[in-house]
Amino acid sequence: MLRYQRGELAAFELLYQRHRGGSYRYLLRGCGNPDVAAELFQDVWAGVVRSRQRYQVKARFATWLYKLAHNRLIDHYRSTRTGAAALDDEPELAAPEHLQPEAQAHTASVSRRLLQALSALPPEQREAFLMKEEGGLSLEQIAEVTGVGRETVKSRLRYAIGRLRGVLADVL
Amino acid sequence: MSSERDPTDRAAAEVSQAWAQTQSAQPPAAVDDAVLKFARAAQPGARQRRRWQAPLALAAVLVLGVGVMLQLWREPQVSAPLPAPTPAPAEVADAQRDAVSEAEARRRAESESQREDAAARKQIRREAVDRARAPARPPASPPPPAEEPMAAAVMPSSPAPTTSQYGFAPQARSAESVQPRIASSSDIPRSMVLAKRAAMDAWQAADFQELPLAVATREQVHARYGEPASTAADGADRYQQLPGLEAAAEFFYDERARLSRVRLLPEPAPTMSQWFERTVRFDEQPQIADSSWSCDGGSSTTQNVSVWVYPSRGVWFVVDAQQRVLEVNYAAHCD
Repeated sequence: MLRYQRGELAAFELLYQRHRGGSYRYLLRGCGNPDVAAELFQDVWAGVVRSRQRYQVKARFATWLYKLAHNRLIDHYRSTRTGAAALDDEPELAAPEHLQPEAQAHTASVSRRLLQALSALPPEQREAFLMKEEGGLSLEQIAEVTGVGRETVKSRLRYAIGRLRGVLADVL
Repeated sequence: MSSERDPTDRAAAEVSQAWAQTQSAQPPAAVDDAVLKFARAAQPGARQRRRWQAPLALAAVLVLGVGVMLQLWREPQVSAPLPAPTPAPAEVADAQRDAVSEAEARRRAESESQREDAAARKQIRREAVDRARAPARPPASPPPPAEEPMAAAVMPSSPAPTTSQYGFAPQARSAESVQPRIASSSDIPRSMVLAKRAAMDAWQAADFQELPLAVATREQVHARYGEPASTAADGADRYQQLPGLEAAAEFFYDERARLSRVRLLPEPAPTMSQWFERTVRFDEQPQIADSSWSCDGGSSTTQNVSVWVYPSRGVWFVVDAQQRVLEVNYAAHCD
């Protein structure tokens, strides 16, 4: 990020390549709509570009990125007055072609159950889970992004994992 | 350390793995293009260059033109030779000392470079002689140039050449035969040593046989290649040979069970040109490093080799002095 500050575009492209998938899925699972997620995603990364001069090396880039994404998602919730994102469409699956049909059906089933369970979580638990799984953030980093204490994040994750584990009890 | 995992940790790991295996949504390509285009347009250098390029060029032309015109106008009036300038003694002495020290530094650098190159050539000749004398080893061919066509490759030693994707019959290469008989890393010209930081900055995650690193899961790898022959303590899956490749393979995964690295050990070891003939040719020149270079902190297990790095391809090769490929590594990241 510091190199991007100095004008090295390749540094931005590297950061983008590394974090595009996780940040997109975080927003997608947070808002529940691919079109909205694409719009939020562009807003977040445009924010990265515009605020690059304000970036300071106090934390990992991922922490800063997910802070931008978290704030953008909060704005979206407020504007649409929805706290829990409902999944109107079938979960988006991108099963590789080489998977056998049976394995693909199983993966689709597990994914659908996970996403439905995730959408039923309270937003703060869902966010904590997504930041951990998609962003690879630690408890401390999630706490910093969401503005709560570490133990609060730990509790939220414990509840989220407990509920998700429950819906997969028969396949795990 | 307790041998039993906390049930909470176990549940978290199970959910994490299930999540990683089922979630692969990516932003649409149009979104990627828009973001990258926005980032490029926001580069201040590009804007400023466009803004100032023409006026700067015009100013330079004007300055040069005026200078030439003044010179031409003045010259006809000079009728007598100018007196020889009297240099300031101290300045002249300083300038002379600087010139001498610069020239001396250049001479020393050149002679050191020549000594290094001579030592490298001597080492290679000595090792070639050793190999020729060693009875247990197969006969070695002289180091081929990089652009040598396959027709001039190593001749088969077995009477009936078997099918090989590299166009020559395989010569057995046991683990014991891979001896450190290559030029040492200090023989690599200094100009070829890669700063790891430059490679890290330019690194692009690789796809390995259409399995994208950092995205593909262990399940997807198993679905493609079957169950591995073994799994190491660090979680890496090992295959004796991948179909379509004459290479053993190791698949490494990160903490989210995503494919982080693929390490191939070709058997027999092809030359670089042979590898490119059968896989995909890289047009760009590699960056060369010594055997200690690695993306993940580990170094090559074979000493006295060089590492050819292609950051934009997300791959590095471990290569001996005859440009035979000992390892091919595809990596998701270079940290």
